[in-house]
Amino acid sequence: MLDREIAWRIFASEFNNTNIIHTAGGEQAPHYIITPTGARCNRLFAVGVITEVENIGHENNELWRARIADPTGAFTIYAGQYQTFSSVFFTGIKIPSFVAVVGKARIYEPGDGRIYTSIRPEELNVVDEYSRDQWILETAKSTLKRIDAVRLALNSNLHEGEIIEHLQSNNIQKELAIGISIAITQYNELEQYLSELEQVVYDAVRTVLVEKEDNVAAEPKQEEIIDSKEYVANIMEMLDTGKGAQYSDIVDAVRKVNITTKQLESIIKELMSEGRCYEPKIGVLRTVH
Amino acid sequence: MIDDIYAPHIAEIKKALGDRASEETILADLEKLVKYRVPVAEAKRSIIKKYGGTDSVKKTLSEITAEDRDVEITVKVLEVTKRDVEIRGVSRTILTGIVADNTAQLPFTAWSELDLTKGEVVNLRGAYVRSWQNQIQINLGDRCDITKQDEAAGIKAEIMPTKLADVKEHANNLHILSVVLEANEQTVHTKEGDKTITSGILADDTAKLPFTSWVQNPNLTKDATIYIENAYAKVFRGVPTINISEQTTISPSEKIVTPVVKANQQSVYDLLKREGAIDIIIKGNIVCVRPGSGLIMRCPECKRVIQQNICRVHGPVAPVPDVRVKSVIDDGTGSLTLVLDARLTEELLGYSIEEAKKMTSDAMSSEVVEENIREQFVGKMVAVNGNMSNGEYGAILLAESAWFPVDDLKEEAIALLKERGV
Ligand SMILES: [Zn+2]
Repeated sequence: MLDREIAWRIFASEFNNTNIIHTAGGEQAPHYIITPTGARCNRLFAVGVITEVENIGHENNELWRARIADPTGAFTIYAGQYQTFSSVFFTGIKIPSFVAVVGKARIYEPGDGRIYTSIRPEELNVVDEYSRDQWILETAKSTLKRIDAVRLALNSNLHEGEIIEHLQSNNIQKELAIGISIAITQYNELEQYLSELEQVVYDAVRTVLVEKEDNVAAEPKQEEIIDSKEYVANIMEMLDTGKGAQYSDIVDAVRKVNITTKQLESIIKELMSEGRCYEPKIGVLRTVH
Repeated sequence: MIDDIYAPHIAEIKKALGDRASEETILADLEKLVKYRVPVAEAKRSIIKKYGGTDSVKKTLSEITAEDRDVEITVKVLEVTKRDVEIRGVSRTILTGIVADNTAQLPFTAWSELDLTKGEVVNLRGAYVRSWQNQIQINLGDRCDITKQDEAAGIKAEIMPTKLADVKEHANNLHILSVVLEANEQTVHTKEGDKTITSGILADDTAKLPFTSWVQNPNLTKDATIYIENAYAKVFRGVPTINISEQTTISPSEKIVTPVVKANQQSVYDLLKREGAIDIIIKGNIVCVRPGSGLIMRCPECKRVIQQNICRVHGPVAPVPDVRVKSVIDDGTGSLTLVLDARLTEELLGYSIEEAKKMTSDAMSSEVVEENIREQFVGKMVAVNGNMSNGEYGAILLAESAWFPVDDLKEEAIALLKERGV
């Protein structure tokens, strides 16, 4: 059985300073990015505040771009037509709110020397502020652990092959040891960068200590929909890709804006009686154009 | 100089042959074969053969790797047990046991009744190595050359008990120093009639594991610290279980063992090194809720999950509703499948079977419960106590209890900064 890739905890600042892609042989082999602290990362888990959402695709070829900010910077998220769940998610999401993302690490090099990192989401979910703070602490701890491990490698003056063994004998897991052996040969002025990153991590930890403003803490789920009926009609139309919209998908989409299933049902009845939608078969709804 | 090119090869051949051939003879033979364009490796082999040597490489046990095919070792036999086994339908007597030198101890299997006695020191040539589930094992075939060493000189090895966390499936001749946490007698029906067995839980400072004793032993009592010799491990319900048989000795021990009584929290990375574990705690984030979560239907006969009221085995049946969560938990060091049963799904996420049924019919969608669970669960940090099995379907954590940890994060942040001196 193939092992599932670890979901690394990496701050946006470090993620966005990553510029190494590493492929472990073969076309089919998974792609990894190697971060400056040696995270050999194919998948990551991040929690932050969603600050921007935009559909930058064409009519029949959706491409969503979003930004999720942590205390050190922001992750760019790209979701295309193959991540259908993300289109529902981004349509209903309130900005700002706390969001968790699990996804694949991507690097894009346009060829002009610039490098862009992004996440292609596998999971997106609304979470609370407490989960965000938990993530900051967990990510701080694992980043500091990686910083210490890279320093251990740098101070050992060993060759690449020996470094992996040296780190493993110091209780550092193999995936990280491999990543570090690559990072220390590819990143310039790494020691300098580690010191900077360490300060960034401490600043991130300090944000957990800041007193919360009540209004931010209290509300992630409360959104005032000016007109629930129009909102539902819109969602219904948006979810209809030719065969009608699944009722369950509509339930899902409107839950994010605090329309209960009961309210939804009476709204749908209203829309039906107005002749604006119909139910071609049970569980499926279509709007009338 | 030609000698320089051959020097390392000659040294190697000399090592294999000892006094059986002089360096000059070896050089002459080697030069001749090389002149005939025989590859050097092949030439070395044939010269060693010619003078009656095996091409065994002399190694200490700590130097042995899974790739070694032919080694020479000088070891003390710490344990040896006769075993009758069936190999491709033929009964054979084999030996299993433990050998050690001053660098390490390793299990061995001799595929015939070789002349090996507990306590003696032997030189073994032509031993080969097999690796099974990451455990290196010395194998001794018919070709194996045994030379008894006069004196036990130099080898002071004694059996090192195996830590419970390191117990692998099918391990033989296990020596274990542990505390009996639980011991219960029960009667089981076997082909040879009713039998009283004792089962329970052993613990040392690394882990807890279940045990089954097929013989009754007065030392197997709750809270006793015992030294077990010659037990074997078998996987039962996904967890390695220590099996105690007639060949096992159990004696009370004066040593102080601090057992892991409470479940210990560990990283997924460390946990995945094991083949199974009981009563462990994992803290991580839910990174995926798998399809097949939420309201499911089971066959009333075999409990298999069924679709459209048809069981693969029992045909059309009246389905029994059930609720569960199949998810993936990841702590940044690794991930494993986390399964919550109906009780825990209700406790943690609030969906009883009745509520799940109602939601499903209200929403006219069979996936509405799964979708709700996904929204409540994905991204959340959760702590789980349960048993882990690590088999062909990957690592699975069956939760006994699960909770959303509520820690004082500010306190944690302060502690972290303090620890780093900032
Ligand atoms: Zn059945």
